[in-house]
Amino acid sequence: MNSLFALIIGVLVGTGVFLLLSRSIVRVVIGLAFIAYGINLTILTVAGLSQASPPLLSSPGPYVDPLPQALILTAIVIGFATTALILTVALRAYQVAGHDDVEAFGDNLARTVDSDLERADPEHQSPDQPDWEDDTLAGGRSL
Amino acid sequence: MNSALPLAPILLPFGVGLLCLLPLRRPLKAGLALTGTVLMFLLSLLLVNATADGSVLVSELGGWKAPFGIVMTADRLSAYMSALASLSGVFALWFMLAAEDRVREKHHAFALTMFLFTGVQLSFLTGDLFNLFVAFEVMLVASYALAVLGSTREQLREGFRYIVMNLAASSLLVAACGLTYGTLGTLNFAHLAQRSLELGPRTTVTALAVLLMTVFASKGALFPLGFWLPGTYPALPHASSAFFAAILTKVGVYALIRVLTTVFQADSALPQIFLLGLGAATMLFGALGALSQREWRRILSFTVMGSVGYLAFGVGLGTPDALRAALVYVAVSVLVTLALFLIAAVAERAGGTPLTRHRRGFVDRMPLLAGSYLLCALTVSGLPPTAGFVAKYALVRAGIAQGSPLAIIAVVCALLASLITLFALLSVWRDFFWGKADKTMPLHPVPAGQQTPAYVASGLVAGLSLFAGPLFTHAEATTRELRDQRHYIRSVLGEGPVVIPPDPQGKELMKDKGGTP
Repeated sequence: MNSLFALIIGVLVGTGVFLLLSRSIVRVVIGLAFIAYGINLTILTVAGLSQASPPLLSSPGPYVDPLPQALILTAIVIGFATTALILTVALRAYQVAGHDDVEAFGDNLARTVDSDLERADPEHQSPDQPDWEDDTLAGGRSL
Repeated sequence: MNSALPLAPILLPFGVGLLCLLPLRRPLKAGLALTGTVLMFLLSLLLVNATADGSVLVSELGGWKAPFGIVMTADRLSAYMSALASLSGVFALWFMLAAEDRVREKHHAFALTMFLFTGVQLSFLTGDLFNLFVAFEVMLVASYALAVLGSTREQLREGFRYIVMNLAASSLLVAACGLTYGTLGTLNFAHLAQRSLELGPRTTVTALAVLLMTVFASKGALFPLGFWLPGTYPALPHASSAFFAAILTKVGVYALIRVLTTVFQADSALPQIFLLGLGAATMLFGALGALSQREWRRILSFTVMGSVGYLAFGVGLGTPDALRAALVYVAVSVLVTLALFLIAAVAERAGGTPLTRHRRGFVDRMPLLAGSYLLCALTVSGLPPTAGFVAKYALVRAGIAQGSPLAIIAVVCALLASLITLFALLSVWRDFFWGKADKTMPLHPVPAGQQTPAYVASGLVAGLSLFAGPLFTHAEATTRELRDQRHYIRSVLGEGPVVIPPDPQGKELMKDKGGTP
């Protein structure tokens, strides 16, 4: 069973990395999710696989070590939160940039972008540079 | 020694953060956040005081004994880092209060900052590898939110890069935790240390140490893995970027020191060689990057990368002298980065642009700012009257004393990088401060409240060179403690051997229930 799991983990992580390297934001997010699944299976596998033993104390033993399951549960919960957050950021980036192409974000250090001024969603424009928009106001009202 | 003290600096900002989520008026929220941060700083000082005699404080969560439950531990290193983080937190919050930003504050900038403090303190004080991952996630989720809060185009672009990079690194950390548990059967630092001590040097454990080093190197922004840093930090609002730059990379460095000295001491030779190489490359990359940029915080972000390179160099040398020098350099680097980012905030507002060029003569207009900048620039590049010189001199001397060919190359890189950094920072001085003031350029007034944190932080940087002696004494003691694994193991796990209870067979439970499943 270990080899089967190793194969599955390899396929999952490989798919994840492939998706992570693509240009579309949504594919990047899905790629991260695939990697997370692969990692969770890794924890399950390295802690020892056994078909006959549930991690439940309410049924007769022998039991499998429950700690990896707890670790995976924690990792899944955190994974949900971060996936939700990155999807929110992706949506906002789509609204602001007008496309979900990572490459067209441009290289910020080179500062060549600003050709893609068309917004996808004119209802939700970004307050670009809110730091400076009311500079005089903020300057006059400090503590 | 059992004590609830290590929990206090974690729970306090967490509670204050929750309170800040309530719909309160701004002065109330601000007062709450400031009180919480100052109290957190005082609690960290208490921790430093309590661990000064070499005792390791342990908090057992839920009363579960060490290898089975989650424990918070505070030794000299943890307390030291916790105090530095709290100090930077105070300054960041001070600037945040002085520079009102209603757009972001409406969207819970205070609460997120407090959660960021919680995550940072948790990662310094945890005594468990998986809990370290959880702490990283708490810290990173708060930092992701702060990085994109306000959603300017630049923030989203850089924030997305930052988030994806860190999520990938986090997956690797979970995998490393799983593999560590599969190999050594435990996740508690002390228990891991005990088991790897019993096993002696092992290739599998070395592989784990290298894997963990890779993860922490990406958190600490070492050369090939730190590409996200110079883009992300300048996109942030000023208060956040000061705290991010001062502390977040140091969390990775702390984890490196912890894992390579306390936990896998016997297996740390190979990861240390990697660190030495990466450190040498990072120093040069940071220095050259700083030279290539023309905006305040972009230049400074690259010097942050450079300083992480020096720390990796110190940890990678592996000798007690080098570790001591690295620990001193941590304090110098945190304070000087904080001061420089606060100075940059004032300078950007006064000049009305993030560019350092096309502004001249600020030495006449803001002499105090110019003086503070010069002091900090000299400290970063490590010239004599400053604490930066003392720390870098100690690092270079430790490198020469270690004497391996790679160490000598790294020493050359360190000296070269210092020179290039000095040139980069002095060209900022020449462009921005030096020369005759152009009367046609408007000087945007910056309120005194926003300038004070920068000056006080620069004062602390100046004070560091006076207190270099006590700092070295403390670092010396910390190094001795870090190299003595048995003391840490005894303090956390107790005197007796750890007995793993036998696998439960379910008989006990069946008896209670009268035999029916």
